Amino acid sequence: MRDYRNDIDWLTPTLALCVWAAHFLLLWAASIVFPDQPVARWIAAILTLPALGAMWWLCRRGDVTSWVSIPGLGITIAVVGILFSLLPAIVG
Amino acid sequence: MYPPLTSLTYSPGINTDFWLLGIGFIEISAIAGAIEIIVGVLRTRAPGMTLDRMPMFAWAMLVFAVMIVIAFPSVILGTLLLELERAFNWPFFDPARGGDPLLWQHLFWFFGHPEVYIIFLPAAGLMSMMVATVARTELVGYRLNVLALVATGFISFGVWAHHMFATGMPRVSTGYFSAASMAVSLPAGIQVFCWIATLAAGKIRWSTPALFVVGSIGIFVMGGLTGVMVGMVPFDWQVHDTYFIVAHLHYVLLGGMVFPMFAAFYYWNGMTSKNALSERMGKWVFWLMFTGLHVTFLPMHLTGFMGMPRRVYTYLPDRGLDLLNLVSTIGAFVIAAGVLLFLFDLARRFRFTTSEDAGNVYGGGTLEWLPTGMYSTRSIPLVRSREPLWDDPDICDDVAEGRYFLPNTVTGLRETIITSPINAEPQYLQLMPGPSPWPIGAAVFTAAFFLALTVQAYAFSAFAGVVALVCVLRWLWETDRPIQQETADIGAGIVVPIAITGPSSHGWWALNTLMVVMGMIVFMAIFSYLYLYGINPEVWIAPPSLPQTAGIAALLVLALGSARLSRRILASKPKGAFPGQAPWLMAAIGAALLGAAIWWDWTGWSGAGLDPTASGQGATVFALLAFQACTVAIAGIMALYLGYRSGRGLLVGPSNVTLDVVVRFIGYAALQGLACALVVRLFPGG
Amino acid sequence: MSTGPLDRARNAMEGRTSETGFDHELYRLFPTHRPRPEGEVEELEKIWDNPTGWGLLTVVNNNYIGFFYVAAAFLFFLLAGILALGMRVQLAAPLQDFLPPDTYNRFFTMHGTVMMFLFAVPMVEAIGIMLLPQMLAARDLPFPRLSAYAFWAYFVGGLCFFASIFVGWRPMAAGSCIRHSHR
Repeated sequence: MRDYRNDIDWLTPTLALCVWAAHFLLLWAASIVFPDQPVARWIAAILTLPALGAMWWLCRRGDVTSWVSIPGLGITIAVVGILFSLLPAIVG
Repeated sequence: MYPPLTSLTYSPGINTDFWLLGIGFIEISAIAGAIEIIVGVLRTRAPGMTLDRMPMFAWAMLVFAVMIVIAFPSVILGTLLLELERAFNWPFFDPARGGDPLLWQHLFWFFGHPEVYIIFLPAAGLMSMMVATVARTELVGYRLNVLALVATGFISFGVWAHHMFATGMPRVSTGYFSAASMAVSLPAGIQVFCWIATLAAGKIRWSTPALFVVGSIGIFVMGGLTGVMVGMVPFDWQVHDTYFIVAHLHYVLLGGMVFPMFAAFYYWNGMTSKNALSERMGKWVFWLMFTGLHVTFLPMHLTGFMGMPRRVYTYLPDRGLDLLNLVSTIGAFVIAAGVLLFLFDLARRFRFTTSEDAGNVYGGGTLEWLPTGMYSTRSIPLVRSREPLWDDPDICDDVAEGRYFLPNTVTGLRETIITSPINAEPQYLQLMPGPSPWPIGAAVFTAAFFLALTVQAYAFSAFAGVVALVCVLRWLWETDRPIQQETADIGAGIVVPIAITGPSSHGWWALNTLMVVMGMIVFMAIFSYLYLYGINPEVWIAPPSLPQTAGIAALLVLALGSARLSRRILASKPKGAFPGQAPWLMAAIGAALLGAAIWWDWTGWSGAGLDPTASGQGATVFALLAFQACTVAIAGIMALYLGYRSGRGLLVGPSNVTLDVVVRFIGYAALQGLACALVVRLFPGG
Repeated sequence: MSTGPLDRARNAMEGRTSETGFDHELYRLFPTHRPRPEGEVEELEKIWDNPTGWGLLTVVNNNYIGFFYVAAAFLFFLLAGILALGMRVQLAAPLQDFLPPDTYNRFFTMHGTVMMFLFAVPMVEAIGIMLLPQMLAARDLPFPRLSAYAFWAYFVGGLCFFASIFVGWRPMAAGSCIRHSHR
């Protein structure tokens, strides 16, 4: 039986996923407000920058140094999600 | 159940209305359950059970309940709008008048996809617990599993339109949903790998639950793989509405929920039944169901590729579909044989009990295996680890001998300990109700109310509605009673208050959850408004004048202020003092102001020429107003109830739960009214 | 399995700060050693006792409500499963007449809806209501009467909904945008 002394920082990965959610919803909103128009893709690309910036800020705030930790893994999943969401705007 | 097929033109008669009604009951049930589970998991854990030591099923249920709170409002709104369209001809989904059939699909699937994860995650939580016991070792990657649950919960909200790939959405939109659909397999995969690692790390004892657990992992992974396949848009265009989808959904549902459910039936049977179920028959049940599943659904991948559509009552011969369908049918009866055998065993052995149960047949380590009676455990243990029964062999005896918290009753009523959300430190003693006829009365008459409305028996409906309301108020009447004792010794001399008021009370948290639900309904309604504007801006008329809007906003702000003042007045009174009429009068004034605001809002729009049957704008604006009107009506009833309680001397200072609930609800209704009024009046403006 | 019995003298919350100001040192008092007075268990049994017969309709305890809920959800599982068997008989060979098109449409609509809405979500919720309080060592859910209300609303509503298939009122267009009958 291990001793669970340390409190895990759950707020950081939760906030990271919230950033992913906001990024996704805004990208989708742009794609239906401007259907089949290049401006939707530009919005997607531009919005990805503050999203990734928010991820970097979350790393700083939560003192996350390696992705092999719960906050680190949570941020990684969210970053992968954000970049993967950007892909259709660039490629599709 | 898509419009226009379910609109009045193509579905006359009350068929669809009954369907919508049935869904409505599930919605009520699920929301109520979600409130219970959120408050239960966060506030009623045993002392010492920090979030880190909580059973995985508790984590899964917490995520499940939060998902219900966010997702269900969407389908509540969707079914309400469809019913409004059918009953009053408000054209939400009629393109000829500015509506859009796709709106229903968005509303439904925004709920519909999270719903399948709502179904899967609790089963996954059960799996995590059973895997640990079956492999006789602790779950590998507990925190990874929790992160996976949370991440799945989040990302599952971003995939809904993968059910709509064939509807002609813009290409980039479908791309986003495709990307998210693939991304959601990441956290699901983490869970599966944790289970496999646990099974590998331990030494499996091949009991019936073990068979179902291992079988379900395999089936679910197969279903998940076909899921990622259909997440790719061009592939989905080929297989949409074919039997390939039927194969996929049955693999994930049967593997992800039904098999874990059967595993759970066998595993936890010892908690509720006098006798254990038969292991020998259980193995037959498993193999029949497992084999039957593959025989039924594996050929459906092929029939789907060969073009057999869903929802067709027959197919032509000599297309290659004959043999495959026959095989599927045989498989279905093999599954049925397995279920029948299970029922036979159940009838033979299952005898419901709350005290002399069969016990910890499979050797689980979590607290549900403590010796229990009708009162649950004799004493509430102090939790020091994730698998307390494995780590402390004496805990069962200690609990039964009353050597932990609450070994007796302090007040002579039913009690449990409310603890803090993160560290589970004892905070206060909660008094709980015993048997009561009012909940079932309220449920039956609520059902009667809606049923009678559906068959247009309006008089009976009104009567049932009144009786339901009386049942609810009578039920509430028993709550929030003054108690003689103020503190209680919950064991070893530790003293806590009995029932508290304010932001730490469990009732406060329940109301918070309800407000999120209502807020989500309004959010989705506003989304519907904006969506229809985007589709058909040409049917939009100018809103009423800006001074009128400002006036309505002012009334609502005053209502909010009135509610807050009410609470302030009560807080200024000394303990136990009767505060006079002021607090409930302020609440009543708040409710009256709300009423004035919604009346003004409604007549303002009618005066501006908006007709709810004429356009998408009319329909969505009046839907928002109608929702606000219902909220205000409830606030009014609550204010009157508060007045009655005040008149009977039950409202004493400095703080009171009933007053808190009523004024916070009035405050919420004011904010909701502001959102409903301002968004539609200010955007797109006139 | 475990590495050995716990050292009970050790503080259960070592290394953690208090969330509410509760003194973690108090946990060292457990398990207590003095024998409990007589009659405590009997008193608990009396308070938590539940009525039998028709009184069972008024029960709010999670053990009972959870059991009713699981049983009801499982009943719907079986009923929807029988509908599926009917569908499979119809599809076993081409151009059969076992279920005419209208009836077949009603069967699959009800199979899907009952499975998803009357079985799947209620079942996992029911298992939660039954198991969660015991897993958390709480005596019951925080709002017992609310869970009773939720169950009865579900049960009555679900029965009426399912009964509609026999009374001639049944919906016929689950999830489909395409024409579903071939004439």
